[in-house]
Amino acid sequence: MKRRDFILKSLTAGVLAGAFFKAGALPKMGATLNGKSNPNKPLDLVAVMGGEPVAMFTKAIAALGGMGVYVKKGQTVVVKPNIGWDTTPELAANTNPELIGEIVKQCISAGAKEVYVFDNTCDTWDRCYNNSGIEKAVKSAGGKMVPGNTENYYKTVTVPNGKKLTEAKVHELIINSDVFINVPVLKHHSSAKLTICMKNLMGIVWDRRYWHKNNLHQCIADFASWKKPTLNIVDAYRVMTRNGPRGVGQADIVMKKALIISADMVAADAAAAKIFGTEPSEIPYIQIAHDMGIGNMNLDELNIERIKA
Amino acid sequence: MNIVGLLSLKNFRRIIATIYIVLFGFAFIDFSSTLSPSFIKSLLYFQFTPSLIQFLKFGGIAATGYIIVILLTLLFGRIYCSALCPLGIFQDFISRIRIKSPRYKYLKPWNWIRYTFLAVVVGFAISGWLFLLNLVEPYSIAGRIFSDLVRPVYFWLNNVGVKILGLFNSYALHQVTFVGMPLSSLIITGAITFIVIVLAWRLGRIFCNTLCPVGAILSIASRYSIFKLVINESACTSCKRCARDCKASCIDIELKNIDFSRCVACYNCIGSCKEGGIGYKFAWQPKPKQQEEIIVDESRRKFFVTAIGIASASYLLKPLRTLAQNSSTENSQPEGSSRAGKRKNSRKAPITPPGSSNFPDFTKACTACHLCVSACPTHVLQPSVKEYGLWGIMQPHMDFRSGFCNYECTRCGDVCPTGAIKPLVLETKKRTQLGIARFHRGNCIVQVDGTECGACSEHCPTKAVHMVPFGGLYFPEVRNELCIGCGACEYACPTTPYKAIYVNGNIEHGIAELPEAIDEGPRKSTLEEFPF
Repeated sequence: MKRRDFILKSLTAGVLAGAFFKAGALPKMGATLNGKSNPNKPLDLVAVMGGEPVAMFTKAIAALGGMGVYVKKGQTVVVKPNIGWDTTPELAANTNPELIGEIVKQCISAGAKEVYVFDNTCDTWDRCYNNSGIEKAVKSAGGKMVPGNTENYYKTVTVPNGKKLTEAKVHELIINSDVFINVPVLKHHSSAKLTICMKNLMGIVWDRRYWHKNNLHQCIADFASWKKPTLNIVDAYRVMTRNGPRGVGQADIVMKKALIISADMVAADAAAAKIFGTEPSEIPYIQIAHDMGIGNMNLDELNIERIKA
Repeated sequence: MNIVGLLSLKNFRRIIATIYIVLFGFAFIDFSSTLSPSFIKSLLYFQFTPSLIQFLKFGGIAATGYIIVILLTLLFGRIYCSALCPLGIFQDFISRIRIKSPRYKYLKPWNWIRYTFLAVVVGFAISGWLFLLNLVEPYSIAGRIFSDLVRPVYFWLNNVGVKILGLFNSYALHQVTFVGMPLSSLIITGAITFIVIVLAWRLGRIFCNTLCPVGAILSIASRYSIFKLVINESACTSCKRCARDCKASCIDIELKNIDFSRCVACYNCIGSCKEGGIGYKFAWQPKPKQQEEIIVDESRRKFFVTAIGIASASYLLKPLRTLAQNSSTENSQPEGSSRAGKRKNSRKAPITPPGSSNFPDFTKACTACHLCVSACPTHVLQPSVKEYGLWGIMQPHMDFRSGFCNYECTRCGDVCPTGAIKPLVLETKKRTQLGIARFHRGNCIVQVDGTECGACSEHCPTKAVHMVPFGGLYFPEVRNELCIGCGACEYACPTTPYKAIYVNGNIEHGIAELPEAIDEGPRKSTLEEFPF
């Protein structure tokens, strides 16, 4: 054996050993021992990886007992995707349109009376609705696109547990509908670092500038205490890992091909942050929301179903 | 009415005029981009002034509408004035809604005033100041009537409709807000409209034969028309019905003469003559005998006044070097605890729309019809107040208080009939640098309040505005070479009354660099197992 080869081999062995010990030092899986969910307890979170958006969603919602668990016959449903930007689906600045279409379809099959979809967009709303592909997907699935472009649609609510944000104007559909399904897309975000479930709720309020002016992270967490969505479905199929939230080109995208569902926004945000490659505690609003008791960001304390599609 | 009556020239004119004004008006009040830009352009093809300006400034086959109008006038008289001129049709509409139909009588022509005024208007226009032209030019006045005055009413009616539908839980229509229109534009348009209405109500088409520059030019052409309306002297009983119905007040029954230069080709007289004594007649003459004197005089006068026009214009108009940035007014929301945004900014130059190339060329070609103002989906295009100087008032500028330029949109250039805003291919538009954003740290929330914000970078489509770490926080930084001056950062910046980031206009538009590696396609994920 040549000296060079010997050194290389030793190095490789050392690295491998280090990796082994590092792996052994990982936190225990708690409620979900060895990555398996506990069938005797209700699921806190379902995570799917490796499939297409519709297939991943179908598997995830089936694991939770189907859409019928959340949507009852005759109820009105509001679905809130991220439709913030006038860009095409490939750029993933907006939630995947096929996913939204499938959610609407399943709500209607579960007996929903009406399924409404809207966002308070950043770019011009009708162009966003159109170019995101969401308008078409929703309409062909039997849902209705609703405008959120003027202040008249928003009603003032109080946020009793808010520290910085004590009141906000919220879209009437969120207040009036029986079921609220929050469907963010996981993205890098220049202001909030990441945008996932809690950040997506900025699209149901009118006066966003106030948030930016008054400690953005605290306001995001404050508003998360106002109302719990019935369900949060995180689209992490195409993930914008830089230049967010709008993105510049397709090179900003990594094909993570993942999806997360949870009723707990903090848990879903924590899991999505991990998929993004960031520790949840590094995102101030996740930590603040966790500390305020809005949800649980400690994933090892949760009953998680992991599905490889 | 018999079938011949139904197919009369007058009814034919009425049908065309009605269809035209409905489409024209809709193009100027629509908020949903219903009509395609190419349809709007063909609709406005015959509009005299924009077509002439485009021809003179830029040339091209698309700008020949005015030639067709002149040829049509040389054939049959001022057909444009009654069938295609939106302000002419508007005046006819005003005189029609009178309960008691108006009775006109012959008026002597005011040719001296008329052609002197034309020369002044043309003189100013040639020397690059369109201010006066834009005040009296019929296409632009009509555009502004619809865009500035009818549009808010249309919006309001729409919103009433939304409320009614809301009672039935329907979201078929949506609310719209009329934003950004400056008071000065409303007042000027309102005043001109008031004058036009009063004149039309009392005196018919007096505007067209006194102040209107297009009317004056076509008058000159119609003196030479091959076919003219004439009174058959043997049939005439001097009943004066035709003169009573002539809204141009150009039928002198004493002389049994129609002053065809003032005739707007409405054909009311043909129907009102019980004897059938008025009709088109071949009337071509190499030189009309009566008006010879006026025309010779006019060219000299025109030259003289043009000279005065140029001199006074260059004296009166000094480019505005510094424009104080108006403080933001749209924020009615509570301030919260922020102390940012208290320092004044100074904007060095106004921002002209993408496709306008440069500030001087734009202001020399824009008739301020406000079609782009209506067509702009983000409402960033607004009539100017003092941004272009007093004499550029009402010509549209990019107002980042009411919106920002949509990265994926080229609509203003696609609809502009004068070529003041030239159509751009989307890829070109995305790199056209209207100005460069400037960060004013002393106004920024991150600096003043010590909390994260980043709204500017969030909205930036090219990431020219990006966030850089400094002292545990992220601050915006502008990469000038990537900035296109779209104003998304300025619009999104939450500080009041002054923004922490604002766009300085480029007098001459530049070309921004392309963001690096945007089209490499998505990257593959290295994630194979659940990271939790």
